[in-house]
Amino acid sequence: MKNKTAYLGLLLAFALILSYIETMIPFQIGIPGVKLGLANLAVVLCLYLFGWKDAMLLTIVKAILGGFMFGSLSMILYSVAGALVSVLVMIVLCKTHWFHIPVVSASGGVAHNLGQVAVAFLVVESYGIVYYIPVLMISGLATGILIGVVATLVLPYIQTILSKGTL
Amino acid sequence: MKNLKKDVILLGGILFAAFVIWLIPVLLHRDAPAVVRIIQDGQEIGTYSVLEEQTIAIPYEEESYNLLLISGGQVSVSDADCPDGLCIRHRAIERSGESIICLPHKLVIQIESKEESDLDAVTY
Repeated sequence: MKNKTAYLGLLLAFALILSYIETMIPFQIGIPGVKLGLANLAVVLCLYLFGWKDAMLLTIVKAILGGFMFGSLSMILYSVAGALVSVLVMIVLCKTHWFHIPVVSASGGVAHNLGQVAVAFLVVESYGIVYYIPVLMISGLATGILIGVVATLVLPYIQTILSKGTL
Repeated sequence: MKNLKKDVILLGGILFAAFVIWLIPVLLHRDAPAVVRIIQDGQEIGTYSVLEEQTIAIPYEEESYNLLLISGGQVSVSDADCPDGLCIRHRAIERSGESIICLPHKLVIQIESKEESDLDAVTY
């Protein structure tokens, strides 16, 4: 596709802006790196526009750059783990062509939070963390659905722009 | 093919899983909570009764610390010098199975029933 690199750059910038907005929303539940997951919108768009390889690339770069800009070095470990699990789940669900976008992104949101809990579990070695899992699953589900709805509405317009160069 | 039925099944499955995981601590910890256990870097460093009013300083490395406040059956971190301060902002915990975690200081504070801590000692 023409100008794909430029579009990927735009999506990355979009993801980082969303990550920044996210840092301004107070949502602390005690596990570092656990976020609402708004930046996932860029990944979902990328997955449906350019396919799984670029979605994967965007996820990794987003997690690393976002970690350096808005978090700390140790935070990168948590977000990369969560982001990778999330994007893998979304890729698989997207490839089956069984599910609508909100469901795919909701599953990705849940997987993201579960991945982070897994890393936190390895760090603190405590079963007490299990207590957080239901809350994290529900919050991941809720933002995931919201993001999926937004992506569903926005995708046709972006696809028109990509193929015709204008709306 | 995409259809709403598959969507509903997957979402329902996730909700059901969340519900089941939520049930586990509720079913396991029906008894009144008895002790607060402090674990640092995977090592248990102390167990205290939640009924005794007291303040416990938990040192970390040379100069860092977390100040644990046990009051009225509730446990909270009243002060700490960890970089993110998440443990201070965490609401007070009182139910068995709840925990406050301070990752920068590798600290876990959790409430347990007495029987469970015996079992956990075996596991560790």
